[in-house]
Amino acid sequence: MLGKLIGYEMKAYSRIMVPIFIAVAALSVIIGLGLRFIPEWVGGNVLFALTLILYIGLLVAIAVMTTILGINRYYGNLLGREGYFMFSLPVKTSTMMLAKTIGALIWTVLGAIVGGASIALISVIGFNTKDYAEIINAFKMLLTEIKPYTGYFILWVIVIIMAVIQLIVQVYAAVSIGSQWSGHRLIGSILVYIGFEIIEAIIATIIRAIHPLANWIERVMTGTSWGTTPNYGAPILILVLILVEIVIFWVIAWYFTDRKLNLE
Amino acid sequence: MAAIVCNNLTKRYGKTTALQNVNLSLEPGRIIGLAGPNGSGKTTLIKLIQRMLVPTQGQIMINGSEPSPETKAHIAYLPDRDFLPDWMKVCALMDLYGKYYGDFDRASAEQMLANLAIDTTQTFKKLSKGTREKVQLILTMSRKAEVYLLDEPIAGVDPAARDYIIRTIISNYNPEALVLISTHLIADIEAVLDEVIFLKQGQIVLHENTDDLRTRVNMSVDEYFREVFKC
Amino acid sequence: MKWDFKNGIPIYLQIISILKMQIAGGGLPPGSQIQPVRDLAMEAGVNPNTMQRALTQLEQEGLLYTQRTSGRFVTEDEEVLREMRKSLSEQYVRELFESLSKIGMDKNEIIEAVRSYQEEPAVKKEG
Repeated sequence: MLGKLIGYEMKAYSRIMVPIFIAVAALSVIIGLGLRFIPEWVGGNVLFALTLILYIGLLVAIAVMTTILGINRYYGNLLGREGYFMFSLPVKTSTMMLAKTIGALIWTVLGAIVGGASIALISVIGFNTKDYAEIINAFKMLLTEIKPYTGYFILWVIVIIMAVIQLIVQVYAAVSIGSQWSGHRLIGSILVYIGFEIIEAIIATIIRAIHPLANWIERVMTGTSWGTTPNYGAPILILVLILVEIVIFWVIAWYFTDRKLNLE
Repeated sequence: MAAIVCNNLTKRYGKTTALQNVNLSLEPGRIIGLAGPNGSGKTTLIKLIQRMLVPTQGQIMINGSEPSPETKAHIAYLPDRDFLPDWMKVCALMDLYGKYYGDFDRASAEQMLANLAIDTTQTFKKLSKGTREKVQLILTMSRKAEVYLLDEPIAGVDPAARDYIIRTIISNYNPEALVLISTHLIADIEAVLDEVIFLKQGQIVLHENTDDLRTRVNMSVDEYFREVFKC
Repeated sequence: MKWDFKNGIPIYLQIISILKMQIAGGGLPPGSQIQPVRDLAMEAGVNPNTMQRALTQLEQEGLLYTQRTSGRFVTEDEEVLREMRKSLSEQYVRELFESLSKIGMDKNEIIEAVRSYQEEPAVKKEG
């Protein structure tokens, strides 16, 4: 069932996101070709400026639409009218939540990849082969530099992915509480989200006030590196904190979605 | 074995009591009307059966087990509003039903849609309100479920649509299934009901075989309903 | 077939009298086949259980019979059909007398009214 539900998420996102992705790819090609074959393209060409603005606008659209869809796949699809369909499926609430989370994560990552790939595409098409070889060289050198730190690097990637999941689950917790307030669901959700941020800030302040704890955290975060061994303490501590938040927000979201469901 | 049993079922929202101490036992093979004015607790009862709400007190059993994903696999539910992802085409909605419900009879759904000349390549959102309601009914009734929960299927429809809905319910009727139809317009459907339940302010005031009721009170179920719920 | 249901009378009883009228009036001639329960129920807009109950009772009265493989038929037994017509006619005459005595007519007046109706039926039918 989880696989089917994720498939459904893919379909729901793709009908909006794929056209944007295609448009980004097309513009990247146009910009790249322009850079390569039109000498005066960069220097004060109005058309170039417009294309560039459109391109940046589309990159922003990827970020904005991924966020909006990510919220709406929970707020609208699960807690709105379509919730009557979703909650009639022979599936556990937690499975639906997991499918939504994975869907949102996949499309966030896809958005980042498309953004990065489009810049790569512009470079590949836009610069002539000599520049191209230089870029590859630089990239190779970068890889050799990083090589001893591969584990460390991967750890940070995991931290970033978990941070995205934490954000997603925090939104789910906010909208599932906000939707309890019939007639003011959206404003309720926003207020709850702000409330979460305030609570987090308060907890951070309290921790900073407890000196032994604050000092310990300080030491872990700035911990010294030995030769090629980087400081693993910082990402591990951040990861643990993020995981704790994920668990807390997940339990909140599950409780208000499963036990206190208040459909439109 | 009863298809649905409610024991001392109570549901409160904060201080408001939506259902108060409901005891019910509904047998399979029957078409049962759940009648009451708006706000009498009909939708609450249906949502509790479908586990969209959790009881404050008491218990519900569906074919012997409490509401769960497993019981939902055998309940076909038609809510009282548009509830399908409306950006999908009708054929994609059939795919969706086929994927999630093992008891969905796609051939039967396609036949019924063809009978109404509904274009299945059309996006659900673009259909007229009446057609959307029919598509939802067809998808629901095309499941070979053990329990059908139809929430106000005839509210606000014209007489022709009402007849179509009633005929669709009868023609897909399965002698082993329970059909529970909620309504505040009993006259339109009383001829198809085996039993009727009157729900008043969250409490059951009557649960009787309709023919027995007609003989006992010497009125139609509708006339009796109007008398019981007189303002 | 026309299916109109009155209030306050169990629907299966009303179905029985509608079907009896059909049989008596030739709408369902002796030996003719009856539609399947579900189709009849759909046509009448009633619950299939109710239709089944009515048909079962008609079977018990001998007006219908079931052939295991091919379905349900109207009896060809003249005796049974005559019985049914007789009981229907008795019922209508009783209803006629009951209604007319309610408006104050006595037995002789009613018979007189029937006789005069029979003498000029065309005019009355128009009314």
